[in-house]
Amino acid sequence: MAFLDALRGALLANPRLGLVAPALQVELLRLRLDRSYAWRSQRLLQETAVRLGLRAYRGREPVVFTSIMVPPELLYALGLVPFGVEVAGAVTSMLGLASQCLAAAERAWAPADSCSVLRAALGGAELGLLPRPLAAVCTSCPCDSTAKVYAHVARQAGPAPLLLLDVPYEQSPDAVAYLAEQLAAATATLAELAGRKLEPARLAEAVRLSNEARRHVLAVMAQRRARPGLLASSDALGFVYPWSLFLGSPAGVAVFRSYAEELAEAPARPAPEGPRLMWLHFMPFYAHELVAALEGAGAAVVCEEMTQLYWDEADPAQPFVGLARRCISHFLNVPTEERIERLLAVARDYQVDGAVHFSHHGCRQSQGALRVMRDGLAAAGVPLMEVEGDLIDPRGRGEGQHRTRLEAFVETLA
Amino acid sequence: MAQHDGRLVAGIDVGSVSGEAVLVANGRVVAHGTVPTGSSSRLAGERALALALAQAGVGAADLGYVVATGYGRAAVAGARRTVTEITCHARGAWHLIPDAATVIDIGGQDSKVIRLGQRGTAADFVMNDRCAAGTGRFLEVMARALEVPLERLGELSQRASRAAPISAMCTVFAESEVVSLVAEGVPVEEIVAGLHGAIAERIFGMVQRLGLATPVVMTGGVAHNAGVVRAIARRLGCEVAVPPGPHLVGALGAALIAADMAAASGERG
Repeated sequence: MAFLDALRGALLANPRLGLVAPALQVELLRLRLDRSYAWRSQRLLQETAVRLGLRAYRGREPVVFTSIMVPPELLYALGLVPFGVEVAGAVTSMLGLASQCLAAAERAWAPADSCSVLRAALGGAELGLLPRPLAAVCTSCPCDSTAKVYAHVARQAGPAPLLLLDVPYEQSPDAVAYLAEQLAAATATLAELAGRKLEPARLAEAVRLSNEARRHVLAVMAQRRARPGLLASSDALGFVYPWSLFLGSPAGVAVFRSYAEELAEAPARPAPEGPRLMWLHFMPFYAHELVAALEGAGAAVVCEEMTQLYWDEADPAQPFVGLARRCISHFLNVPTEERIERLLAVARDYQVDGAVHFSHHGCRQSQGALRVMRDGLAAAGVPLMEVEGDLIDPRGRGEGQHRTRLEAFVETLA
Repeated sequence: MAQHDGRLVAGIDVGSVSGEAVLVANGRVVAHGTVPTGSSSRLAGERALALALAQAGVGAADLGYVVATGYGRAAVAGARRTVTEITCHARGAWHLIPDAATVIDIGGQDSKVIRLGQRGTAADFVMNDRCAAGTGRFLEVMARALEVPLERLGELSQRASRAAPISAMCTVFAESEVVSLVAEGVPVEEIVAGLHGAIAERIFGMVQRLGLATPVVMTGGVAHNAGVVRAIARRLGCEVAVPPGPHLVGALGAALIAADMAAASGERG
């Protein structure tokens, strides 16, 4: 296993050599041999992600760069391969390439106080680590620098056109219609660029598969509510990846069906005895001790905001409307007051005693509302602790300070 | 040597600058010891405890529960439990000043504002630990730049008729600013008053995040600097009480928690 890790690292050491595809092959082999996964579904998710990555890097199929909230169903309907640029940014950290990519971004004048997830992706593009795209599609929310970064990345890795979806900040039929129209137009543009015709039946099938995956996600959530602590938060947060890139494909159904079945089969385990916590935002993508610090102090992270299903099933007969509604109803696209109400509902479902917000440097859309969220949650008896850090760059992290902060927070809950 | 009934417990607080040990029996401080932390938290804890034991005229075998706190708490050998300094400072301050509502602890390289809950528990807190600005380290650097002993800063600022504004947020840049002020002929006492004001401003911001609740108590080594205490009181608009031995409050809180644990377990201290 160590040999395969080293081989993968060697293949990625000089990105200009264009050896990402072989590195992904090595990763696939490593996954097959790795027996350390707590859940087989977790390995299935990773394998599916690597296979999707391989499709993107082999260059045999058109690739489209997509941001987190772009519905992948549209791409699957056209036979295009989605490639998540933010996801790529996160992966650079997991693979130990973050400092290289961030340095490359710095050389490209990316502001150091902007989100390092996007900066790492931008740096990856500068280093030639990203596949060549047919186009890039991104949404105007949740991240304020998405459009500019995607434009840069599309230019570097392409050049390829950028399609920007303007997501309204309101929950109304007009807003849904506005975005649905844009989704339809973007899909038509992608079809034209790819020299393909959109077949409504294929899009309807993609939506149907997405709905089926959603039902399995609901089953997973039911298991987690009934048995808090069953699935580690750090594992559950990985769901954001298939939500952004697998929905609308058979693989998306397979991953979540596997999770639902595996969690249902899992033997009973005792409920957490100490304080139960909800995690807001992501956890760092490098190895960290945050959860260990909380668990060492006797607490358990039982749920996450990021993994709460926030959309209804879409009507396959009206795909753009349903997918637009999904984008608009994302918890980062609603007024903070509504976000607080949603969080409190989750807190009640999981009998949460407190919440931890990971304030990622430069992530203004998540931190801007922190005081309001803190007060709103505290008023309902859910104290909120903020931990500042960086999701991608492990340098400069103060583990001791984080540990003290988190342990002290648990002590206040006891 | 103080008499005690055998319920002798210890709290050991190992911070970035110093390590303290406090021995408590029957709710009263029996002895204490303070050492520079140096490069080894483990050794600092051992040395501080050894000093306290020697002062009390007892040996380690006479000790019951030991609780460790502070940045280096995990390294303290022989601690039955570790508790964060937030909880310990709250507990220690409440023991000394039972109506305390807010505790301000400025240590070697971080500062905290703690809102007390029932019976000396920490109900909420804010920490500034991302940089050394406004901490004991900040004052050390500035004292060196001004070529005055650290322990004279409080007295110097009292002589100032005005405070020279210090605008830099960073310790390194503030040092440069101080050097410039000296070169411009600004009196040292005014510079020191300005530095104290900068710390007070930072603490004020932290208190505002929690909301001010009085009485306010200041703990930690920097509380020995009467100038900082005065500046904070002025900025908050209320009195700031400093218990005797403010640098020992964390270790005292740890010792009191050790006593609670010993009592709860029915163990002989």
